[in-house]
Amino acid sequence: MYSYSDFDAGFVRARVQQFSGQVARRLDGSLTEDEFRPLRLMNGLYLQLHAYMLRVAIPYGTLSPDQMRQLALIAETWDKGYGHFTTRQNIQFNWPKLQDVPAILAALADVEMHAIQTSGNCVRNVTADHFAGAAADEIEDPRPYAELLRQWSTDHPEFQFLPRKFKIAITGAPNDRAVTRAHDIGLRMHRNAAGEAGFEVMVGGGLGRTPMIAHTTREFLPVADLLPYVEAVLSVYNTLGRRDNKYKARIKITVHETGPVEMTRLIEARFAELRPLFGGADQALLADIRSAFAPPAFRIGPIDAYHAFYTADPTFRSWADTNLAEHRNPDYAILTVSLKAHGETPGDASAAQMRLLADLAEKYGHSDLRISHEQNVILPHVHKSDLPTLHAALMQARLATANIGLISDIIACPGMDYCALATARSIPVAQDIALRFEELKLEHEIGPLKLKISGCINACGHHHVGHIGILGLDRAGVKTTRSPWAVMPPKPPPLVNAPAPVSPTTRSCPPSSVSCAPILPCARPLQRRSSMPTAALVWHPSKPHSIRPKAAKMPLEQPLAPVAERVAELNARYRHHGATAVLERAMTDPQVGRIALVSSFGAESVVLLHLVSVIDRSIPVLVIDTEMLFAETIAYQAEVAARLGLTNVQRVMARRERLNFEDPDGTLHQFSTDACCALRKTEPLEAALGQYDAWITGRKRYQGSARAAVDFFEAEGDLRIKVNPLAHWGREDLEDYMVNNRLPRHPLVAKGYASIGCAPCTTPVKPGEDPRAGRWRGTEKVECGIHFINGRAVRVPKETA
Amino acid sequence: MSVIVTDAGFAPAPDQIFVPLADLANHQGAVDLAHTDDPEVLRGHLGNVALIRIAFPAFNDGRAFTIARRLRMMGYTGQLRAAGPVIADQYAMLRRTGFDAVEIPDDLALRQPAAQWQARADWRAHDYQSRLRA
Repeated sequence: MYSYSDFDAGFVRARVQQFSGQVARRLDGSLTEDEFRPLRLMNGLYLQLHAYMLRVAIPYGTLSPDQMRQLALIAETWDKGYGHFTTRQNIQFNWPKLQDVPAILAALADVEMHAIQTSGNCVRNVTADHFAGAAADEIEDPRPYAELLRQWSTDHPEFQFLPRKFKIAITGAPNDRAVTRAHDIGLRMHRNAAGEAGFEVMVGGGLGRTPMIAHTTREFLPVADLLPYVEAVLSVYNTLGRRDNKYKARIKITVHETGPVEMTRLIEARFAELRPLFGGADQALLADIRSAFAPPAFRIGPIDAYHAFYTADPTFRSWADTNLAEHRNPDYAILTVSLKAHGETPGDASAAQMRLLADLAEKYGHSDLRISHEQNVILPHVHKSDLPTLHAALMQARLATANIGLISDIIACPGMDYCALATARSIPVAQDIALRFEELKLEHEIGPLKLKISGCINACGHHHVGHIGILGLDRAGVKTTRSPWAVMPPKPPPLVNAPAPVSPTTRSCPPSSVSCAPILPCARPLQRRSSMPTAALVWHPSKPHSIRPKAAKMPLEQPLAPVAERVAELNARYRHHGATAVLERAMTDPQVGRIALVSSFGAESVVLLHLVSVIDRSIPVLVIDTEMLFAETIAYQAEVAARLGLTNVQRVMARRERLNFEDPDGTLHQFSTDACCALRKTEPLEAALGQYDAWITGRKRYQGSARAAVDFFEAEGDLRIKVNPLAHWGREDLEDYMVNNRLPRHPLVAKGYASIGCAPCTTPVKPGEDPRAGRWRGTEKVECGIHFINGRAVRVPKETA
Repeated sequence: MSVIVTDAGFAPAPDQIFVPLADLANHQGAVDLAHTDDPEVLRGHLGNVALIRIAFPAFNDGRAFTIARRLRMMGYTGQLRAAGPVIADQYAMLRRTGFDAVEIPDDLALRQPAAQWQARADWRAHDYQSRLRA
């Protein structure tokens, strides 16, 4: 196993000194909090939900017994007596005090460990196959390369302020136990035709909110080219990676947006420049490192005891069947010690357990310990004859759970019990599932099954890459968990066809009990113009650009004048008219052009829908389906459309590819409501409105000072006209109209919702609250961005929206 | 006003005429690069330029580190200066990627006086890269 050179030791000590100095300079004001934060993170110190959290690197997952004992000591001295092994071969201490951190770092340095670059936008701890150096299927031990990468990446001056964090995983075996394709760079060793070992290099994988599988940028990289090639990847990423949006800053997005072919070309070009700078010093160092990873002196001895126990003891047999893996030496086995006793927190180990494992590794495991990304501890070299004794010792410490690879061997992130980012708890879910299957005694019968649980979209629990993945979410203040691939957002129910409108010569209103003439003080006789298609309610199932409005009702003989000019003329012409007149003219006036009504089918939308329906039931009615709507809204849409006989309701949605890319798990709203509104509402609507010269809205003057001057006709830049027929209506007018015309109300109105948007971001309002107070509650956000000024979405204050 | 930081400490920034990359043809020896500029454009001109100043719009935007490295890889041997609100803790990184000096705003120089920068003037020590590149 690698032990620090004088250089390594000197570096880590100097780094502890630097960090102590940075803490002092933060306290004396030399460093602002914004400046200190990345420095703190680069040294592994997080500010978490309840306390600071220190994340300590376990490079390539390898620990010596002395290091394990030191972790136990740290857990006892400065924490609550336990540590948490993570999915990236780190250990986290969840309760250290800030003033103790320098002492902890010094204690780590004593055993050649550190917390450097376990966080921050830099190259993180390089992870490796946890069976490295022991697995039967291995070509070469990957750890010397991982150690070389550790040294190369540590304090790399060019890459301490990358667009985002950067994770590298490496495996020396064809069977990938290191999840290499889900890393920023994955390195998989294989042999070329000449029999030489080299790496397949995969770039741009990752989980998180946009899970992606890495692309192979180099099929075969000679091992001597490793550092210049990896540096070329980082160099290209540092130049091209996005810095405008934290959620689009990982290299997977760079690869996705640049394209894997172009990305490969850029990397190879940079590699050609960098290669000459590495003249062999790295390879000399690699040779030294490699000698430190020489395999232990394997014992030669009978393994009869193992076979005897295996035959005689069913408990031992069950444990051996699940927890042992094939070693390259047939007399040996790789033992995985489960840290997933049923009902325990996955990945947690107490100080006593750590010490016992250290002792056992010393006695029976050639002093080698590994931590797997599956959050278990591995003794990679155990002579089979020692297994019965080892099993007995583990039993006493509750560490002999026979569940490796089974349903209770759950990967779970710390979740809301510790993590500041989490939106749900994952540990209790894991505990409950494990206990349940233990009660049923079913898991051995089920066989290998990987269950992964993440408490938020960041996917630390790897929920995308299990047989079953569970993602914890927070929707509208309700903590929920769901399996992202199993449960998709509900599709709108198939709509019942609206009754075919009868020809207007015989009936002028849809068959319903509703009076079709609006009851208004100044109601005018209605003239129905054209015969309408008798098609049933139309739901266009997807892309906004597929929406084709009907041919313009009035073919325009001349090109339209500029929008502003027409708006001025229209306002002058209709200044003294009422809503119905304005609507009717808007829907027929050649100066307006092709027109559509945009409706949310919300709390008051039915008024405008009704007014429009009595003029022309075939007008395109655009409904934005964000796929986040209340089931009640979807049902209400169908009900209203049927009652009013609307024949041309068109569903406007974001394109599936856009959704898959921008919001694959449907949780974007948890991170950025603005981005979610833009993706699901604003962009699709803007695309759909591209077909029209004008649109009808329900904006009203009473809604606030900024709307006090709303005119019937408004210019939306030079794009189109916005028609506001209800500009002069008050809230009571709306209420009266709905009552007098016996219009159906949105079912959520009765439940206290005064303004209804998407389910995750809408809550009821209390009496006396602003009607829109329930939208995006608890945030600054007040407006979805659908209202455009000069063709651009703008946000306006809540009281005016 | 701004302050120039070197291994020797602080010095006032001398008056000098910089041209942006777009105006390269008219340079008088000193060129300004934005953090988004492609240094490749300077290939063929590097012999005539004595000073290149690369902007850091914010200390945590690390693009200029790569630009500096690339200029040095292209054979540039003139002065290379970082300009912007970088912090003393980045001084070693700047020097190691090929910068000779840093131009910082006065208020930052007040908050992080010369001693804090000189604490990292030992940037050649504890440098993994120098062990790997030879």
